[in-house]
Amino acid sequence: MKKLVVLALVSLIASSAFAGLDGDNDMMGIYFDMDGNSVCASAAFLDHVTAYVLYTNPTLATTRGFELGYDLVGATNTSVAKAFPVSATDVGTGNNIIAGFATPIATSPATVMATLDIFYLDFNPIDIVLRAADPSSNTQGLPMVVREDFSLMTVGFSAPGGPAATINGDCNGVVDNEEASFGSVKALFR
Amino acid sequence: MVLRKLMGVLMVALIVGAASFAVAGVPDLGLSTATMATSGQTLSLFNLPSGGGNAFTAAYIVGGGGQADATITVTLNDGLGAPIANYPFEDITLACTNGGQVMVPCLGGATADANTDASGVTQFQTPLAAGGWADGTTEVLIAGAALTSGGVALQMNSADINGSGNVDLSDVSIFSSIFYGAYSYAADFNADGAVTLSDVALLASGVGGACP
Repeated sequence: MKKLVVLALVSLIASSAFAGLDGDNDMMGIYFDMDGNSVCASAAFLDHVTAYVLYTNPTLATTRGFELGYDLVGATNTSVAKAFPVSATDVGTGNNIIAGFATPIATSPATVMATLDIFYLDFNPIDIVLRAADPSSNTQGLPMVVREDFSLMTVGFSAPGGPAATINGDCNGVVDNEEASFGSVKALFR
Repeated sequence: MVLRKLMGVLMVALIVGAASFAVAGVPDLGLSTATMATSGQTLSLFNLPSGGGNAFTAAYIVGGGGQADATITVTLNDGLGAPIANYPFEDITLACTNGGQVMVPCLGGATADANTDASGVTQFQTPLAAGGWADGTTEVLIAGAALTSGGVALQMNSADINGSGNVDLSDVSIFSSIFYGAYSYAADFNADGAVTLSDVALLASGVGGACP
């Protein structure tokens, strides 16, 4: 019985370090892997951390661009460089992406809309919080994607009201090493 | 006396004959017509210098509200009101201006789709190869001269905002200044009354393109 409880606890704790794709359709989030599983990363000063803006579970077969804003809470010197899956025109400034793709891209359950190269130049945790782009093409405070016919569609945030991802931050008490977490839970029962 | 009368009749016949010869087969700018498929609305056509912009059948309704058919049908008649068949399409062109604003076609980029048919009819339906912008009306020119019936309610803009024949950093810069500044139809490519992400995507679709 104890083993079963421990196993259940371990699986719950381990799973929180790996978010998995949001099950809802048409969501946008920032992840540290291309499958939408990782929202926690560790970095040392001067490390480059790769993050991905993912359009998840899309109802569109293709998209021609998107807009999204993000804040790096806790960052002072950390900088971000953006790259897109195809040639794109991005008129967003600062931590805003307002980008049109030269050609439409096919979507997948986790569509990479942009790749962020986060150059970690701080010594404290950084939470990545999503918001609408500034300026926004809608009044609902949501990110948007561009349909094949150039019309716009709002999408949801993967983590409304809270950090979408974190570097060196609190992953709800999760460590990214499964053996260590099992050991620490086992210790509770000694 | 009889001879004088005969001479007079002959002179009149020659003059009438000459007049008829002068107008037959020559487009009459007053008797020729141009009509747009959609009436009662002002439409907007998004062009690219590469010719990859919108077809006339997919013009935007100014102010939002989707798309409508802006196909322009031209009927060429001569001074006698007779249709002119097989008039060369290269000499049937479009002009869209408004004060200092001007649609700038690439070479051969704003011509009719085909020579006039047996009924003197041709159309503008395929996308233009053009840059620049104007929120005036569009006129049909026959050998460079505009029909006297006036223009159709069709505005034009392009990702080639400055009409240079290329969609390049200059146009992106102009677009950005409008995006973050005061509204201008020059960057409102879908003519919905606002410059938004849709227009960013339309701009992106043309970046790198140029006149053929």
